[in-house]
Amino acid sequence: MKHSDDIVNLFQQFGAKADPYHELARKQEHQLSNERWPLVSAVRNAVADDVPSVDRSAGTAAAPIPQQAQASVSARPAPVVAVQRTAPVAAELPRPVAAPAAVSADRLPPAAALASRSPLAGLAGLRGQTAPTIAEEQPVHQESLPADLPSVFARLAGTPVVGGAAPAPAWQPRKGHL
Amino acid sequence: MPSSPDIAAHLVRQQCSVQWRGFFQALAAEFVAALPPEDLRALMFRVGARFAADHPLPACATVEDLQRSMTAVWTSIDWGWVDLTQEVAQLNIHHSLSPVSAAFGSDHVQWSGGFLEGVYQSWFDQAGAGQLKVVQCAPADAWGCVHLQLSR
Repeated sequence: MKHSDDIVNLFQQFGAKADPYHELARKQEHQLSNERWPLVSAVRNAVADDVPSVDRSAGTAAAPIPQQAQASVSARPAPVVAVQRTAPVAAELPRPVAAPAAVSADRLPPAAALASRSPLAGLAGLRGQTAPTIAEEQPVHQESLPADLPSVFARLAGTPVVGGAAPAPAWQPRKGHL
Repeated sequence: MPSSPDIAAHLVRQQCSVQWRGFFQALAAEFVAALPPEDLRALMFRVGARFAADHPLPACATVEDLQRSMTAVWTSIDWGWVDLTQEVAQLNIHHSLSPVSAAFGSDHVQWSGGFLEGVYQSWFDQAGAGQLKVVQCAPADAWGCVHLQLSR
């Protein structure tokens, strides 16, 4: 059944307010529906909200936002943060939780997108334009490595240094060397 | 680097005294006739370890100290110098202008490099890296430059 807004339009044409007016026909339809289908009664509140206000003079600013539209706004994913090639800064920043784990190739510039999927990108000089990986973000500089010998030897051997710099043991030739 | 191959070859020959060059090449020929390359390499390693025992390094606290002490030994006998550089999993040992290749000849670089391997292994053992191993990465080039690595 198609509803008519003739009464509302008539009120507005004469400059009158339609506040006291109620759509009796629609309320009656809802009541009949609720009685016929109990499941509909369970969602009575939702159905009641569906009844539009007859006061159209309030303007669009006060118009209620449909529930579905609100949900879509709140569920909108966080905007993708552009990845800068400033590796030290990127390494310091924590990874955003809600954002995608990696920038998809279609969001990169064409050359960078190509470089992200082509093993030949390094030959073409495109590798420098790709989004930096974790390993690239943290280049190992010799200056950052410890220079004291016990630490160097422990690191190379894969053993932790206990109690700082331990004295080197007295050297003896290896068995079989001499 | 000289552009002429003749000049380069002449300079390489100068790395070993003419007084000893014939002796070492005859010695190498005799070695090769008697032993396979792997045994010759082990022999050179032991010669290198003996050399290191005869040239002990002073106590060193840092990689720079160690490099300085090693280079002091090499420069005192005109055997070039060494650069030590760190990487995550290894310590690179770049020895420049060793006369070993010039002495034994370029045909014997596969085993003559065992000498430097033995020297550096023993020096690192002295410095406290006994659990690590020195390995030569590639044969020496024509100028006697050798790349070795200290790692697990």
